[in-house]
Amino acid sequence: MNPDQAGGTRKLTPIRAPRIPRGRRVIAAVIVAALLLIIAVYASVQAIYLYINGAAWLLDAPSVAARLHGTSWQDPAVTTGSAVLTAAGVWLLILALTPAGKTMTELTEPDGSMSAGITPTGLRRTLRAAAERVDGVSTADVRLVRGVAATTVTTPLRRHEALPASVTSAVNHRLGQLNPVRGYTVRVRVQRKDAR
Amino acid sequence: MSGRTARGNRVGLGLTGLTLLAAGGYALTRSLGGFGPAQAEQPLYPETIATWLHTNTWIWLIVAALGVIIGIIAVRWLLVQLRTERLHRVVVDLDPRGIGDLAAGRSALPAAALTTAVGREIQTYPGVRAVRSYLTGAPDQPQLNLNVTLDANADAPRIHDRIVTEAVAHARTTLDNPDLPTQLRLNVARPTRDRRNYI
Repeated sequence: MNPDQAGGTRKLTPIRAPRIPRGRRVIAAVIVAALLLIIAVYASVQAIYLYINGAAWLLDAPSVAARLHGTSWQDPAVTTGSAVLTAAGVWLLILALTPAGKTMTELTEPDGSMSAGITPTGLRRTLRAAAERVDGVSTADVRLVRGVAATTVTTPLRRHEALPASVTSAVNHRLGQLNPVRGYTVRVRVQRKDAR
Repeated sequence: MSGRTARGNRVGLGLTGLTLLAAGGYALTRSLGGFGPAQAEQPLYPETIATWLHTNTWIWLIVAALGVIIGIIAVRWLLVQLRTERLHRVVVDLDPRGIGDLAAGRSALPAAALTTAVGREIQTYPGVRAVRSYLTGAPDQPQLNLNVTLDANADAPRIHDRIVTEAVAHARTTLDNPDLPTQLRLNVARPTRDRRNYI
């Protein structure tokens, strides 16, 4: 059978490496969907009660109507409420229009049909473990902020002039092994702390 | 969860944001006198609207119907957060030329058979704490996803090499797909405290 014949031939699509996923705005979506559901159910129940009984459910409709009738558009509460609604709308629009945050640090992957990434927590933990393996380091902490791996180590050593270079080398070595697409600059701070 | 859910969330949040912005913007403008002082002094619930609502009770049926429609959309929006694109079966092409009829020379394989084998293989590598493996995509164009948790001081390059050259290679051979798209997500387990004192 000629592969070009119409119907039933396999599509030859170019193979691409899967993209490292970004965040999906799940928390915001769940909060907004749940609020919409509550409001929609409440509005439906009240509308059905008003249609059938001519009165609202568990609500003193005449007093609410009287209160709304007595409140003008320029009331400070209306202005504040409108401002809050507008701000919520702007926030949701920004959330929808801006790209979601990255959930993984992309690693260099030579295989063209493969992609690899490491979680920020995972990267922090492995860099911290690398720093803690350096002789003279008691504890280490690593923070990853805008391309900088800020490493803070504690040591009981009184003379620790060589320690920053050793820690930098160890953390850089670990980074080199993982080979992230975007490099990190390692900064080391040493705190002296007597051993307990 | 799938990429479609991510797009759906963007659209849902965008539409809700736009509605809130329009309603809030109108109310704020009117409240601040943007439509003139007479409009700002009007009550929120004027007598004309109250009279109209009392004489046109059918409007409550429309409100109820709208509420039900929005409620159904909201329930569906909540449920799709749980959706995944995991494949339960994958089509293996038995036609070595790869150009034959779709119905001929193809066989379905349970996805779990492949992903369990790949997961078990990676689990045996030194330094690997846990593995989660699954397939996504279309049955005839699957994507292998590997979530691998390593020990804090595991030899990551060696494990990575073994995953590519052994586990993924075996999966590609099984599926007869040398370019099987694969996504590897690494995590690192919380290190066990090893307090050492060098003084």
